[in-house]
Amino acid sequence: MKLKKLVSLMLVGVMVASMAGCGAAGNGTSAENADNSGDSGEQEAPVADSSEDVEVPVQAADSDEEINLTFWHIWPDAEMGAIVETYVEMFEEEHPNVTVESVATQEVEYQNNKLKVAAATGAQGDVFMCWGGGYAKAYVDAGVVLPLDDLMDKYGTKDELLDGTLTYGTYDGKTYGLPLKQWAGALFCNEELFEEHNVKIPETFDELLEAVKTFRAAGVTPMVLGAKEGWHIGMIQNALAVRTEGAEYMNKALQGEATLDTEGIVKSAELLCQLNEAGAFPDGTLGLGSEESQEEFYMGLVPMYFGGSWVSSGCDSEENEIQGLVKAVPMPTVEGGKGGINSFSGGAIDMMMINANTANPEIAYEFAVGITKYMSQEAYKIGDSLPAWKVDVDESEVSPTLRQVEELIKNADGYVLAWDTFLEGAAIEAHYELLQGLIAGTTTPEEFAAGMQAAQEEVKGGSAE
Amino acid sequence: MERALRDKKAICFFVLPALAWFCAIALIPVFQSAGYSLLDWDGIREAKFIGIDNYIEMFQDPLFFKAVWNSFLLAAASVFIQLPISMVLALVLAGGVKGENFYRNAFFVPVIISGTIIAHLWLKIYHPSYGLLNLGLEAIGLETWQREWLGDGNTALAACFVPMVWQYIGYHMLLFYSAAKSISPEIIEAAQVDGATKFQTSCKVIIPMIIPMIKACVIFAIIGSLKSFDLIYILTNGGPVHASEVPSLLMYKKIFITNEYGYASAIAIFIIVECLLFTFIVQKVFNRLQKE
Repeated sequence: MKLKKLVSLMLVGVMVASMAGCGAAGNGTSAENADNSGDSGEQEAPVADSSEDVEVPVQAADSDEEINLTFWHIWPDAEMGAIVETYVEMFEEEHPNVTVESVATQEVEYQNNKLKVAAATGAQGDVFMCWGGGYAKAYVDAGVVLPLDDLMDKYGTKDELLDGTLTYGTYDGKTYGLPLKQWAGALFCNEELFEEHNVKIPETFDELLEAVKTFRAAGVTPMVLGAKEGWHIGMIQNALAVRTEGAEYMNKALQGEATLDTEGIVKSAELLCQLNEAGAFPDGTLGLGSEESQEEFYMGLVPMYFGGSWVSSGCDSEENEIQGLVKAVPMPTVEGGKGGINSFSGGAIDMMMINANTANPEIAYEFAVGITKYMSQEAYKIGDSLPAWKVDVDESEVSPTLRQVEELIKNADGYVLAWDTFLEGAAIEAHYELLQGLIAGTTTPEEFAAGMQAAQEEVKGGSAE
Repeated sequence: MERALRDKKAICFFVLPALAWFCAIALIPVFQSAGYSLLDWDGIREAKFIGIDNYIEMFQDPLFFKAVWNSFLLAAASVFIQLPISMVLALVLAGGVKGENFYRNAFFVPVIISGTIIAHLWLKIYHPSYGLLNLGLEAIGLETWQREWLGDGNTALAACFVPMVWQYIGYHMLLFYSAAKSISPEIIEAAQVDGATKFQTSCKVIIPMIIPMIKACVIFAIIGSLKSFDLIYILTNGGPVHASEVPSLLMYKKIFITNEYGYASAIAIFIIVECLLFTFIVQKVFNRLQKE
């Protein structure tokens, strides 16, 4: 009987362990030693994906020696995936001795799980998509990312880039990331709905509030918001903070050089609450995801969507019903705010980085620069994002809505990234929580600002130790 | 066969591969997790040994208690709502109804469908503006009952429980059903000859005879609830404002969103201990029941 009990307890243990096993997956074998790079293929990345054998030859590359490169990216979808494949083929044609294996993973899965687990042992792809700012800081500190300054000088890469695009890929004065694209936030308005309800496209916050009330009174959901995903609320609040506190101060504060607990930031949260109370957002928004919510904008049911420039590609897509109806305008100005109409939320945060363990840094760099430039240009054409490189594109090929965004930022005098890409670790989760609290009415604007500052201090204090 | 079983060396030899595999993918990670739970570690940078500080932090975290409490509620819902429904269905089916096979398979379908798909199905059912539930309520004139089911902190948890409980009804039904079917027909016939009604046969003969299966199902239901993850992850991701947080979701967020690997390992260890404890308690309770 005792034995039986023991066995059944063990069985329960197995059931539970199968879950805990996931937690223990990425163990901390250090792979910082570059000599080990040949072995990185055997170090299986614990996130199951049979197609990802990282095979890197140990010897340095002679010109006709077989070279295998792995490229990790986040575009399993058809449109962007095709762009990646086209470039990979072009590159392989130019370099007959190089084989590039590209591994696509869905973005959130990649950002939260796959890359984190692999980077813990330096087992990510030779060239990998990554995010600058707070996200890559841990990787840079752990020494799994290759500094690019020498290579950049050698190839004169910096001259080909647009100004300011390297900011968030630079840590302690060294550059680690090649910027893939830039984005800028804008208020996308469906002009047809504005005309139908006789509403003026808002230029000031008061007009925005007025528009919200008019649409709500007519039974139309005024703005898109999927508050189940904290970042989607952040898009709006972050942009309002650029208006109330100004771009310069926000950048300082988010880097931890100034406090986040200021009147301007309280005000930005307050404005968000005002919108919420006026009924700006869909019913039950806290239960909706961003995709679900934006679908109604693309179907022409919701008149306003504050989002990044990537919204453009949906506006011009033939699958949607709002082609040619969308007008992109800047976030309305706030009276008494420190940020003017020419400061935007946005910047260059999406980067290509190179694994410090790669056996062929030169060829990996060549590939990384090539694909970054190519994608920058192609993504620009389909309206996904603004280019980070000095690209030469026939403007008639570019998505018309994205052209509008580009016009808006012509005189831009300041950018602020989305907070969640700036912040690190626990502060991101705190940010999402506090934002959802604002929408749910359980957090006051004062608590929001104080909470953000407390989270920032905790994270910064922790990493300084 | 007798002889082979007496040969301890042979037993060891044949058990070894499976045991080694089991250790490698189940036991060792558990011990590793226990080790990580003593570290202040973000999973990437240098780890620092901090003793039981993670556990102290955990037991002072109101959010953690909320998550554990929610998982207890779910366990209670599973044991006291899900299992009785499964039992009734199983007894009715085992008693012989027309189309027995069809019903048995129909009730089992949700078990086969992946949790992710079920979650998306119910996301649509709960959708505040075009969801089946709200439209249905409108159609029968109960507009006042309409809610933002997943977006409202008061209803989100219950709204998550419904599909979770519903999903596994068929699973437990099948277990009860097969146990009831394996009772020898003579016993049931004997009861009927003695004049027992169908209801009496079920309560006084079948249920007492399948207590071991009930015990197994109670354990499955409780443990399944304590480590539930997939449906809640998709339906609400623990929101709004943590109204539907559960421990395994919290663990996931601590590892992958806030990079608190050590703390998350402490939660993992807690879940393991918690599950073992519940199993032990259920065993004790049922042993006493069986003796009576």
